[in-house]
Amino acid sequence: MTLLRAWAPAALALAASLAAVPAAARESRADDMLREHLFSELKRLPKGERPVVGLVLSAGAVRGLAHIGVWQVLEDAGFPVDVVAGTSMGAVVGSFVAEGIPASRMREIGGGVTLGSGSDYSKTRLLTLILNDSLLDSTAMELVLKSAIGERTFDQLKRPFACVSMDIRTGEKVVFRDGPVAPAVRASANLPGIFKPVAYRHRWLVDGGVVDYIPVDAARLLGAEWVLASVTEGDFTYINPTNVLGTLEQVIDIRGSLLSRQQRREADALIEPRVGDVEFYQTERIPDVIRKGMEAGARGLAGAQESLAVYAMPRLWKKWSAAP
Amino acid sequence: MVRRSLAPLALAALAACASRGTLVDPLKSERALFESGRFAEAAAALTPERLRSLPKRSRGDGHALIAHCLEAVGRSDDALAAYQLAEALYPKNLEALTGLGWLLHRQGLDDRARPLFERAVHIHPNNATANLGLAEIQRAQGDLASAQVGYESALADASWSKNPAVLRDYAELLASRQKPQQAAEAIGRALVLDPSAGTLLSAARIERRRGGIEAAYRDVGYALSGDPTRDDIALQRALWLLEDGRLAEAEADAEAVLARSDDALARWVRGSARARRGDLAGARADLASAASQRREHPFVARAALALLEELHAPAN
Repeated sequence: MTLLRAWAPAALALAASLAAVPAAARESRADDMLREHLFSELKRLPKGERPVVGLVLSAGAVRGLAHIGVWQVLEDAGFPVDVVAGTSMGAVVGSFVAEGIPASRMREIGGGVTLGSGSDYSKTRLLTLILNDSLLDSTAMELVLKSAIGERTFDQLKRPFACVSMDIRTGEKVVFRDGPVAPAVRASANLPGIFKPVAYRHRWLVDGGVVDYIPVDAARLLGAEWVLASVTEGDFTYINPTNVLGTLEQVIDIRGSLLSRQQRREADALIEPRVGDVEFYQTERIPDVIRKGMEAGARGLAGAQESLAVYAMPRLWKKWSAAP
Repeated sequence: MVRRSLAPLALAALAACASRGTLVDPLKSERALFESGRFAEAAAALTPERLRSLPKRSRGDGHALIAHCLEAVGRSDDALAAYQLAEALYPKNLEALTGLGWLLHRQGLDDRARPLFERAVHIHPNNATANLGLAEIQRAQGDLASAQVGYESALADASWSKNPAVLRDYAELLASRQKPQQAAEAIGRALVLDPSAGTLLSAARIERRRGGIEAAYRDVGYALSGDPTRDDIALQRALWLLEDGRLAEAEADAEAVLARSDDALARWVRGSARARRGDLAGARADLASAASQRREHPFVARAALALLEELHAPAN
């Protein structure tokens, strides 16, 4: 402490002189200035004249909580988002975005998620799962959702929203766009092999990640013209599953990744948090996962803004050329 | 709660420790050399024998001082090795932790710098240098709320509270967080300390964000008159003029820049203004020139190409 105080002035002077460098460097960047200008112009276009922007949030279990970090960055930057679509954990976070829950509140909710949030994971229940082939119930997840967004129906949300599930009896993809939000989101995040399928609307529903990992098409159904997708895929090279559940989830993730190759191409911009090494049950890593989402958002923001600005150029030109 | 109630006692103990220690500073002569800019001499004085002769609690600082000196003379690789040695030998030494953290941060290695700052803040929550380093990284990594807390902690320290660059960064962060009033107050403090063109430009940006259009033009005008060679300031004003439909003035600012160099952004501004005025041939020439500079300014080139395509569309 003593020495720190004695030697602080010189060290601070050195650090201060070096700290000033990045600020000056930023000012001379033509790309940054034009991006800021065009994005400001874009945001001033009246709704209906600017492109409809869709935010798509992928599946990914605990990894999917990185979407909260991504949304934090988009919200801070005032990124316009008109419609939202999500699958599995992407549906959970997407419903919050659609409801207009601030990212700071989402971080609180995300930070409180434990393995028990979605169901009863007591030893007795897990033994039942293993010995009796009796799947767990995900009713608790619906209650958690209701505590955050209430008894909202899709048309009561602040932004149009869609989430994706799969009917395990037919293999059909089911896109929910109306009715109560909470049961639809629960069905979308209903991990097969762990949770009982949700009986809803005469269907037998499980996690939509099996059929639509990055639901770009659902956002298009809602009218999105330009789509930003946040993708939280697993990296299988990190994970060596050693038990039944881990193996099952890995197979689902691999299937999701294969499916998502085409969907990635259909999105106009991608943000990919580096959470590939996080396994589906690692709730203790949630703060780190959300932080990785913010990092990815910060890395990808400029690219997304540029892509949207270029996409919107015909609309901007229309406005400019019509001005007196 | 326990931690909070113990804090005054801990602070009192630390203050007593500090006042006792300043009387006897084993590294006083080497620090004097460092502070007078004689970095090589300071480093040379810190021989292995000299380091061994220091009281144990000062040895970590001695190693960190060597690293500081090496960094100050531009020997970054040697400084890195010296910081790493200091940090390995004295893992709780704040100078070693923050010095290594800043070096890595400046080299863009934020993922490696961050844990060092976090460790320093864990050891000493009010350490201004560590809080500032952490805040800069958090800001770059999109965590603006945490960054704000870090800046505020750093600015609570007397040394940093008078640093205009830090105040300016803090003000811009507040503006990004949609806190215009606080941002204006912070940039006002920075302007008092450093009324340079760069600070005036920041002030103008903040004014514009909070809706003070005329005040922003006034500040950017002051900035430009303070340093008329700053093309970025002229172009910032030109972009705002374009946004506000003041095409002739935007074009004039762009032409002033183009008289000095074939700047891609100036070409964009003039081309865009010409297009809006109906001078499509002139606009195309400017935009084609901007589009050709894709290596230096990839986005300006891309945007120019997109607008050029619109101008070539059949309706035009």
